[in-house]
Parts: sequence; structure tokens; C-alpha cells
Amino acid sequence: MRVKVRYFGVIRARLSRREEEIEIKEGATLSDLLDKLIGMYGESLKELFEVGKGEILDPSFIVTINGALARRGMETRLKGGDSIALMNIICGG
Amino acid sequence: MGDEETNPPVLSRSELERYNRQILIPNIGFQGQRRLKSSRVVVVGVGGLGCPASIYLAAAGVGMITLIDKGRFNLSDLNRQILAGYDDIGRLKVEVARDRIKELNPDVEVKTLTIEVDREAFREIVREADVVVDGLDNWRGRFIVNECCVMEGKPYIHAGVSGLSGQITTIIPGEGPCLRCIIPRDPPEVDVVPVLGATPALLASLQVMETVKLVTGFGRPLVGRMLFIDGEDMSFESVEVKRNPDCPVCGKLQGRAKDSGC
Repeated sequence: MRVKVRYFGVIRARLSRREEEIEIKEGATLSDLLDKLIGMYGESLKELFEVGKGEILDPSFIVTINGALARRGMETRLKGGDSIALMNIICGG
Repeated sequence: MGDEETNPPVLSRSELERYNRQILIPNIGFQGQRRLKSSRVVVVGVGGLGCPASIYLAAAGVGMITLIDKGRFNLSDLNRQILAGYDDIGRLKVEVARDRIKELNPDVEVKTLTIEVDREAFREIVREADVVVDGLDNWRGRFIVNECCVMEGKPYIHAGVSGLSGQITTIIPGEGPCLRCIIPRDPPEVDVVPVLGATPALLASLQVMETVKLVTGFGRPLVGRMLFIDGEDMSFESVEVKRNPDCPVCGKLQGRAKDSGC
């Protein structure tokens, strides 16, 4: 199945990509998707978005699925056509 | 807006002339300008965001602006905290900002508070406000402001900046997600954020647009949307953000909480 992944902030700058469609296996979880992205983009993504024990380690990085936070964390199952946003929020004022 | 919602104040001849160009905007008009005059906006943090936000709120004719900041200007603030001149280094930010606002628009009432953002004190301040504008540079303060705005049911216009980038969203408790829905865990604080002065100026302008829209009642605010601005790429793109029904801050509020997500 295919899902749409959109990048914002530092992730976008590092990958020089705004969005793309990613092919993942049926029943894949958010964790599977992030692992795949880390596999595709290597350390440039891993150091920004390290996946820990079922959760994202850095609270500045936020993942939404169709606009909502993934309520089951990294184990949230994805569906074909889902839109996943990877973003980091910044604190300066 | 305030007690005068049903009977907004009249505009003087001088005010009609001062605000002529924005009264000409069909969705503002005389009625919108009167609403701005009777509105009360709190600006929390008078830094890179708060300086341009407060002066544009004053220029737009917001009747009462409350400025909150306990800091004083340093030389390293002057690339972005645009209300301060060289001679203002060492002065309280709220006093300098008040002086500039009064120079621009003596009709605006300005309250200044040199306090730490603290739950009890802040809740009372928020209670009197129509809109709260985020000029803070730390998450601790933002989450307190967010909680107070949710408890008092007041709009909170969040923005954050770094480098040439920023994000902005408008929180209307019960209608869209609060800051805690979007950011469930406290991000690390950053002591010194690199920033070009034009970045907070841009985000602050958007905060003022959101404020004017909310006060006068037109347009589509950034509720349920986080707008990301990337000055390097010169892209402006918003992403949908939904309420978290389990949010510890706003989860129990009535409203459009049907967006349960995944």
C-alpha cells in the first residue's frame, strides 16, 4: 500500500523534499514507516528523528496521521492513502 | 468584545482619519474598527514576536494592550526586538514598548506587567482579554498560557521562530486543538535561538492578522491548522492538526471533539 508523507521544518531542509509517496507493506505501523525512511535517508534522518521504545525520543518532533497525533504511538497501524506529516516545532520568540 | 460588544464605542474624527485605510476593507468597516477599539489583547513576551506584534496591534487600533515581560533590552536583542533603540539598552522592555506605542497611537491604553508567567496570576489576566498573543521564547511559559486560555475559553495565537523558519497556529478552546493536543510532551528548552529579525516580524504580522480577524469576526482563522513558514525555501504550508480527545488540558471541553484520529 502507499501512504503520503509530508515533511516540515528541519526534516524538510535535511531531505530537500516536501512530500512523497512511500510504498509499505499491508498492515505496516508508523514505526515500520519511520524505519523505512531512516533506511532510505540514513543518518541525516536518524539523528533528527530517532525511534525509541515505541515512542519518538525528541518531543519537538511530531508525527500526525491525517491530522491527528498517532494515539497508539509508533504501533499505530497505517492504511493505504494515509497522509503522514513529520514536523518539528521551534521555540524562539 | 468586552462589555461594549453590544454597544461599541463611537470613533472620533481623528480615529476615522487614522484608520481610514483599514476601515475601507469591507470586512472591517466602521463596525470592525469600533470592535477593535473596544478590544483587549494581551501580548505575553515583548521580544522578537512581541515587539512587532504589539506595535501593529496598536497601529490597527486595538483599544487596550497588556504587555507582559520582566526583561530588559540587551544589545543582542536589537536585531529583532524592533521597538528598542540603542539608548534603550538596559531599560525594561514593557516600558520601552509602551512608550513606542504611545508615540504611535496615544489613544491606545497600555498596561505593563513585569511578572513571571505563573498560573494563578496569568489566569486573571487572561480572563479580561479577548485574545492572547504568544511572544514567548520558551515552552514552559507557553504551556501555562495555553492552560489558562483553555480554562478561560480565550483564543491564543501561538507562534515560534528559529532562523528563517517559523510556525503559527490559532487556538480557540473547544473548537480546535490546544497546544497540548499538538505537543503532548514538553520539548527541550533552547537558551539562545538563532534568528533573523525579519522572521519574527513576519510571524508577528500573521499573529496580528489573526487577532484582527478574531476581534472583528471575519475570515478563516488558523484553527486546526499549523502553518509552517520556511524562509529559505520561501514556502508557506499548513498541516491539519486535530483535537486529542485524551488531551489532559482541553480533552473534557465540549465542542467539536469528534476528530478522534487514529
